[in-house]
Amino acid sequence: MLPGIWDFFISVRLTIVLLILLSIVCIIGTIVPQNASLDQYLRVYDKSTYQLLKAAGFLDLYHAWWFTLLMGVFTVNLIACSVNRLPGIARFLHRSSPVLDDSLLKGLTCEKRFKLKQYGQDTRQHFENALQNFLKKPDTATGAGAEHFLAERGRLSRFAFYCTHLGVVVIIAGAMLGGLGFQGYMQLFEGQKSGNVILRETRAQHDLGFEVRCDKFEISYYDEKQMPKDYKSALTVLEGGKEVLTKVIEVNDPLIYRGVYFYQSSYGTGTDTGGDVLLEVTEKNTGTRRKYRGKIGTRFQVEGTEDEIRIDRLVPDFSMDDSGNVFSRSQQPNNPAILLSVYPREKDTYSTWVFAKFPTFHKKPDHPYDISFLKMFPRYYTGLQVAKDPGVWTVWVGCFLMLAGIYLVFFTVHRRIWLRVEKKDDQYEVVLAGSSNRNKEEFAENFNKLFEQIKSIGKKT
Amino acid sequence: MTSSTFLGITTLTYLLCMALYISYLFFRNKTFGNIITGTVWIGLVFNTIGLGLRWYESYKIGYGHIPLANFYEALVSLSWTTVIIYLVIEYRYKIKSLGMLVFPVISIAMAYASLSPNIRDEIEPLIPALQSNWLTYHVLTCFLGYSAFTVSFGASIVYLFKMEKKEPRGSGKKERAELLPSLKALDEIIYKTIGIGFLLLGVGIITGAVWANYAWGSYWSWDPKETWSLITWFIYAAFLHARLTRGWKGKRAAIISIVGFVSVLFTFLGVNYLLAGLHSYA
Repeated sequence: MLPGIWDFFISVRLTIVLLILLSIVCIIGTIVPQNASLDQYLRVYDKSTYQLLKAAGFLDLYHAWWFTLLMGVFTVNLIACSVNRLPGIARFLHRSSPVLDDSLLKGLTCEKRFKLKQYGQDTRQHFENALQNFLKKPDTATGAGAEHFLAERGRLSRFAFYCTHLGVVVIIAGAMLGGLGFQGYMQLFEGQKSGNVILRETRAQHDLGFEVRCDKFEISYYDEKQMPKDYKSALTVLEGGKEVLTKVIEVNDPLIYRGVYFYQSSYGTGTDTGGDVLLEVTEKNTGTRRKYRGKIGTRFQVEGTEDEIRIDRLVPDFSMDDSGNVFSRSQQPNNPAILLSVYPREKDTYSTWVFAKFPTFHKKPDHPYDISFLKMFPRYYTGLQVAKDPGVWTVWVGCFLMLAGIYLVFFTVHRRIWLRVEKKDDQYEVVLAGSSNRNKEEFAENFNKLFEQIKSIGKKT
Repeated sequence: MTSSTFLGITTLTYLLCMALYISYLFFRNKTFGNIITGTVWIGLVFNTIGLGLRWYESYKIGYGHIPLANFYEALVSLSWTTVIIYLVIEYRYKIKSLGMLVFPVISIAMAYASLSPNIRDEIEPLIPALQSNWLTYHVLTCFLGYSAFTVSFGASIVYLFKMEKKEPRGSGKKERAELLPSLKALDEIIYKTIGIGFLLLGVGIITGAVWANYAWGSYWSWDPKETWSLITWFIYAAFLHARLTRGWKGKRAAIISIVGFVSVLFTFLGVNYLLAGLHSYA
């Protein structure tokens, strides 16, 4: 039973099957929307399909139990393969022995021999040079009436497999460690502080144990286009009410405190509270124009009258849904509008939307005032992505090991060439043998060339 | 002269290269071969100048970013990396016939970039999320990886074509197939380019993860582009395991290489057109 399980886990066929399965699962994950809302699903699937997909975990498949199982089997497979190959590879921890005996000779892919009449110091030197030119200065050994030479290079190549797979295992370990951290979101208006994060997955509150205050939020746009060029928040970390750290963060430049990263991820304007607007009010009777700047939610008196105007609401990107409810399509000031309530002394109270970009829209002849919306000074909030991931450095170490391993697999070769000169009767027998763990054909070609070279050296001297 | 002029000439030069590589199948001689390679180099020089000028022009407008910011720039840069990888392989293996498959791909990419009405070729400002040096490392390594896979795809098609033409005897087609490089050499190229592509795409995915971690606070979010690059990587990983441990070579290897390339295409194009996600701007 146990050997059966072991054989199952050490098979590379399993690895290939797992890679294909993971690919298929990932493809499904990009086609079926993940973690979307019920509404979004019901637009694409009917109710029963939705329930089936949900029950099978396909709507959040990267967190489904069977995905975890798949990754678990994958990890065990990787570790088992590594353990299985350990004994075969451990011998390469040390340099090989230069002594070429017959049992070693059997395991080598290339082998050629020739006979030599004379062998002396000169020839030996030439042989050594030839090996050195081919690979590396050889190690030598003498014994049992024979001289042995070994040139060896690229031993590290044998460990490429380990390095790569260890890297993958470390990455998976790092990802698991990441589960101890959290990911969330917080919104801060200028001047506001908070120590709570809304967690991404559960939408629950998470207490940071310290507070963060947004001192200032700034946004700049590219000239002609209404495209944001940059946005920045000045943040201050407060520990027990005391300021401990201040940093201006922007996209691609987070604040890091006690392992928690604060990323600039979005921004918005307070639509119903805070912020100022600049209005121009024209009295139709007299033609007097006056400018007023006021806060949203407050009312002001038109000068020289007892009439009052209240600024009820600001919407930066005016839009209406099917049932006529006003909402802001985005946080960009694409179509800013304000809702005003006018309280004339003599007439009925009325409400009206005033648009910055369409000043004549909604104007009525019986209204006592013409009101233009000149400018808005919205109160911005900064949207911060807050994350703590204790596994992230483990993941980077794993990535490094994996890439180093892949590099070693493709760009290094472990090559060994042995030369043995043995006195046999009145002659010397020269054996050239060697092996390479990769590019075996190219190695064999070069081996043959080396052999011819060695042979001609032997003949000449 | 503006970058558009240079890139226009580049497109024409690559089209010419495509024609020359196809003619090379019929008129094989050394001088002609050298002329073709020379033409590729000229195209590469124009391509480089075009990209360099575009970079410079973006600074003059005040945007100041490497030309990797929109689809037009992606196609032009991808052509550039593919030509570089192709030239390395051509030089290393002394094989010219891959050009007749690689250059149509490059020419289509370049021509589509300059002629398609769906592609805006003006220099656009960079949204804040992309304003980082990681953009260069991430996109360039991914593109070099894609390019290596493109060359491997070319070699796989030549491989299958040559295998096919080996069967019928005595036909003219057979002789033409003889002019192609040996199956062994092609197999070697498929393997080597996949190895290079695998490493480069790996670096690309990881630099992307490092960047995402720095910009968004999460190194991996299963966004469709991320996921598809991983799928591509898994397919080639399966190829490498099959080859290194089970000795899958030749026809089977060529077929997996083609499947892998389809996945590369989907990662590069399909995701943007068919799926939505964080990479929707690229």
